[in-house]
Amino acid sequence: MARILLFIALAAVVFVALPFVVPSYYVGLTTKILIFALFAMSLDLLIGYTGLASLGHAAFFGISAYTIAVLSVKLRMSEWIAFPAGLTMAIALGAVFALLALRARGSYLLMITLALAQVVWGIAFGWRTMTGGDDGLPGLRRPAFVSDETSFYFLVLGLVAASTVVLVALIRSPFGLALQGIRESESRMQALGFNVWRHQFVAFVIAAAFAGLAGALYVYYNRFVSPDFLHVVRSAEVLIMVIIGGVGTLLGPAIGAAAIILLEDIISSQTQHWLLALGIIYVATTLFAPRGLIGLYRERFMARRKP
Amino acid sequence: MRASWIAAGVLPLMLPITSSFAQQGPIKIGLILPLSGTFAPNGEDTLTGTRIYFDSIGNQVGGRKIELIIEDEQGRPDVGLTKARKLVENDKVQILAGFVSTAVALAVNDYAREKKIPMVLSGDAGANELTMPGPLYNPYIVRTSQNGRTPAAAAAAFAYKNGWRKVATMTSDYAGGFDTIGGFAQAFCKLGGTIVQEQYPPINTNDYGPYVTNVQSGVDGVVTFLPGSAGLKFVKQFDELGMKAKYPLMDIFGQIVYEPFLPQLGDAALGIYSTLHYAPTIKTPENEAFVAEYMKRAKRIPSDNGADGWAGAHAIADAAKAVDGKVEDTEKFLAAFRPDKFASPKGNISFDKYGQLIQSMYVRKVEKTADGYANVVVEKFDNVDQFWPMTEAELESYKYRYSELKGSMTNCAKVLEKK
Repeated sequence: MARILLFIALAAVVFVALPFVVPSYYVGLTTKILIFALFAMSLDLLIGYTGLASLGHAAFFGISAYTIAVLSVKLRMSEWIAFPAGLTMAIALGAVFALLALRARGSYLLMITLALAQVVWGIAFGWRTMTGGDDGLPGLRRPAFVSDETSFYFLVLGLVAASTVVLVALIRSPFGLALQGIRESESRMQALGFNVWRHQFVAFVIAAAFAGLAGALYVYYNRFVSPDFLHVVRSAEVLIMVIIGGVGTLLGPAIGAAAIILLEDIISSQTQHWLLALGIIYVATTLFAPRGLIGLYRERFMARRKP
Repeated sequence: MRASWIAAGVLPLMLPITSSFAQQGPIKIGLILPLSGTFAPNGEDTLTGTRIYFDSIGNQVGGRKIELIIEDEQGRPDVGLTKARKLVENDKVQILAGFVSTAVALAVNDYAREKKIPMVLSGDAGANELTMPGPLYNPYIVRTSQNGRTPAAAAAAFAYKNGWRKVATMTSDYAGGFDTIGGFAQAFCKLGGTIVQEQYPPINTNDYGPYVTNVQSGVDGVVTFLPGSAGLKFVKQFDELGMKAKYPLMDIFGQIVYEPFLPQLGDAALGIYSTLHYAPTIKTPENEAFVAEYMKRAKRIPSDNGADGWAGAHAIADAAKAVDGKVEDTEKFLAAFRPDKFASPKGNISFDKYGQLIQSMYVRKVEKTADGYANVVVEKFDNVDQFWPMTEAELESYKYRYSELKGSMTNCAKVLEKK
């Protein structure tokens, strides 16, 4: 326990001191990492804790971003309306997806979530007058109180930290434990009198809400939105972050997000063949660290401590 | 004795701080290009063209070395913006250049405007609004490629001149498509022609048969904008189904008759007209030297992207020279682009007050030459600015934007409706 508290205190000091120590580019990059860490953690709630694999998670991320951009840029509404509206849309879409997709399991669930997300992508791509089509919607402004990089960084840091606390509390709550029970054996939980479908539905909506929050932060970070925000490639990317980091560990996907964003940033500046390098790293990770980076850490370091 | 030792040690440490010595560092140019994904060939062409010019001046201008820092935007706008931030904040580049995807250019636009970083669009990014007065206009932008509407306007001028009065159009269903075909509709309507049918096959259509057979009979020609492999698939079926024998084809931007496709297409491409601001077959000393050098490096014929990259590098070097290498003085440096004039592989080049290139437009026709199939220039329009053949005021007076005209381009009254 003391070790965990120490770790949290240390992390807090590092993150708070960061913008005063490193150059502005790395503050921006860390902001991006925090946003994707939240996005990956929200997907881990579904995959790792509820046992529902989704290939359409970017839809929630993207619809929240699009809602905010369209309301602010096209309809000139204030961020106090746009931001909550973005989250609401993500939650509503999460509910719709859950209603349609929760009939299926395994690879069929993957296919359905993929198909539903492609529908949302198609709307963003095709509804040119509202969404700007494939050119996207530029010209979004950040709220005045977070207009500079440092204050925006602290906003993101605060929200991501608060979300992490909520997610941890959720996973440790009776509800969270029930979700993990469902992941292990649906039929047993059913026999114990749990309403499996309702639990899964709520988990799906919560995951969508946090993905929506990540999307909302990302659209303010970039100040534009394009169909690429909710493309299947983005869904796959966040899935890889979860897998590389370690499924079902919450902290793992956050580390996976950081690792992938940093690797991509560093390698793609060095060589044109960065995709090849990244691919080799992915393969190596799955071969040598099947339980993700955090699994690797636990196996190597924690095991040694327990004699 | 000791004091002088100390002075000798400290002095070099202090020198870089003074501004006159900071000027001696290299001129850093950040190139943002797609080097992986669908548009990688366009990105590589732009890069090769850029390198050919800078190498020809020894990578040096105004007494300073030129340093290129190249970043892959992967065809994704948010990646492009991250790369722009890295280049400006971390690598401290003074100039951003490249940009093939319009979405990436739009994503970086606000950032560059805010940071007051000159942004030289030397890649394909053709959004009309970036260099026209309006909300997207960025005074820090200079474009050495083309905008979406001018090759389309040239196609309209050529078609009308050759007696085409009623045409059918075939356009890939995406933003760039509407911007292009809208430019054609406006120019063609104004001359007195009519579009009698518009079709918009989705970008990844595999079977163009239904679209081809659906072309209204009795038209004077078919006008297309089908980028990437779409053009290739379309024209094969257009030929096989016997339509090519009946109707002449005008390929705006030369997407079907893109040089690397020509050997594959063979006779199917013969006689197709296309409009573009470049043709590898242009017979000028500048272009012949450029093509030879390009063939040596890339082992293939350059596309317009190569020539655009070359022109971008040339314009940057000229402007840097005009301010004696002091590119950090952004306002003076940008002002130096405006009076710049030079002969390029594309023809003679100058700039308008918004930073958009004024250049020639070429109408080409596929013919069988001694070197195989090639786009031979059959008509040339000189000094084409971004509003050509209209004036800025006239273009601004129309009510509808091109993208809003999708589905009603057959109605010339609406196309030409004033505000």
